[in-house]
Amino acid sequence: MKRLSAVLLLIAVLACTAAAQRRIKPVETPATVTQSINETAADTSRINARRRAQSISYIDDRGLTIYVDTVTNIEWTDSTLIGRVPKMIYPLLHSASIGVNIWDPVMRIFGQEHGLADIWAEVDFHNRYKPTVEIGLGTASHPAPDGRFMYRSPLSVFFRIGASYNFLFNSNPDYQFMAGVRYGFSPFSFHVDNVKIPGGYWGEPGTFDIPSQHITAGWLEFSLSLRVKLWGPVSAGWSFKFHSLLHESACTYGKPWYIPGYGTRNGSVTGSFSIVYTIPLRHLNKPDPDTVIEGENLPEPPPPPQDTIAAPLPEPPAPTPLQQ
Amino acid sequence: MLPLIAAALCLAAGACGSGGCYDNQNAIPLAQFLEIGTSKSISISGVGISGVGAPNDSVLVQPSQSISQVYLPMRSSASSTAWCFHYTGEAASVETDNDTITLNYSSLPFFASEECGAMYYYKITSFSYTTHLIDSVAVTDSLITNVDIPRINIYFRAASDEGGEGGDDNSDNEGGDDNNGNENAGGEESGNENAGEGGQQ
Repeated sequence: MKRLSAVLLLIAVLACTAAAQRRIKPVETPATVTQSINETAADTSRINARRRAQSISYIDDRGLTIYVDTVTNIEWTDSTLIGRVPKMIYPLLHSASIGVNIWDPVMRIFGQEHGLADIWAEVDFHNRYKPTVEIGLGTASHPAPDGRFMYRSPLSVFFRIGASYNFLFNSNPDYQFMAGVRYGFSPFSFHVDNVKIPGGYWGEPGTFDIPSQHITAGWLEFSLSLRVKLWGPVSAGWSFKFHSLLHESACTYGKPWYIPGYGTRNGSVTGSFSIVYTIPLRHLNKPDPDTVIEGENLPEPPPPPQDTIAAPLPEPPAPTPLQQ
Repeated sequence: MLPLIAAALCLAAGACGSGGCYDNQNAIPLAQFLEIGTSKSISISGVGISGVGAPNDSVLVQPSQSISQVYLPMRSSASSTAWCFHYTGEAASVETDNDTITLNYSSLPFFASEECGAMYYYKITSFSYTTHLIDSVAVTDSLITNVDIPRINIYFRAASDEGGEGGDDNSDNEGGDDNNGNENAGGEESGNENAGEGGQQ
């Protein structure tokens, strides 16, 4: 009985082992072989990958990679690469500019009673990013239209700091269209003289002065600018500005009407017109390793060592006639 | 390019100043008349209002006018201004029973704006009034500016209460808050005159 049980157990173990080793071989038909090919036939990425494998490429002036099929010579663009930000074609240190804003001086000719002038400087990175600092002077001497008071703000300094972004950064730098943001602030003072009050009901006319108040005001400024080259390094720039006061000191006797660098407080929109002088800074950049070096710019080769020049090559020995 | 310039000019014109003054060109307190109890605005007639010591006894409001608000101009050269409310006709039981409101203040030179100009603001330090037909007076903001909103509430008794109860109510206002939140001080029970501390109440 024990022997019979052992034989049955052995048969069961062998049967399980045989079942685990069974293999199912898939049935291959022409349909199953081409199924995966058909399913991926319209996959653009696979198509482009195949075309790229049999093409050469170059980068055009817009920064796009153009592939050329080496068999058919057809040029094509990888659609998956369209829309990428094109490479900046101008170097990091492109130029530096200084400008004089002549908006206020011109407006004063036409009767404006406030403002003076300001100068600014900027550094141009990649013809695209332009950090800017500005400094200027402002003053006001404004009588009320009806003569009821005289507003005066002595000559005061103001500052602006910010940056501009040139949308045409890969185009000719002679033409620029920019958006900018500035923070400006000015410490200044103002006083109002000869304030006339009518007699009114009580019949008591009088005059008084509002004492001088020292204030620091800060504002934020957004701008849209155009700049066009006039001649050589000189260009002209127009700016259309929207600004808003951020903070100002508390005023016991009333808020200022004019803020140097900001203008009159009741105006949210102003402008500027600048004459700009631009200094190129390209020479300060490291040379691009991909830049093709022109022949005339190649450095002179070093002279060869003297001991290798004098000895001409020996004449090869004449062939000896074959002796019969 | 021309439409762009035109749009910019329109935007600039809209964003620039109005060129006008939407508030007053002087700091004049505006007083409104209210009915005690309901605090509703009322129009009164038969009341002549004039400044005490005004030149030529000029009148601010004629008794024939029916008004619910009145500007009470301050004297810029003084620290106190008083106005007399003279009752005539049906409004008064005794015509000689006038009411007087007196404001004590300090003047503050102030530059409001280029359009509205410079002027004196007035900081009310205290005030007093009599109570023949006036029940009470409240100063809602002690700083009188050129902003055109009521700063003084003058509460009159209702028509049924008119005539003769005047000074009896003064004891309720002495040194404390009355029903309208007006803090009065120094009320004289016999003299029908109350005095209030100036301030925003």
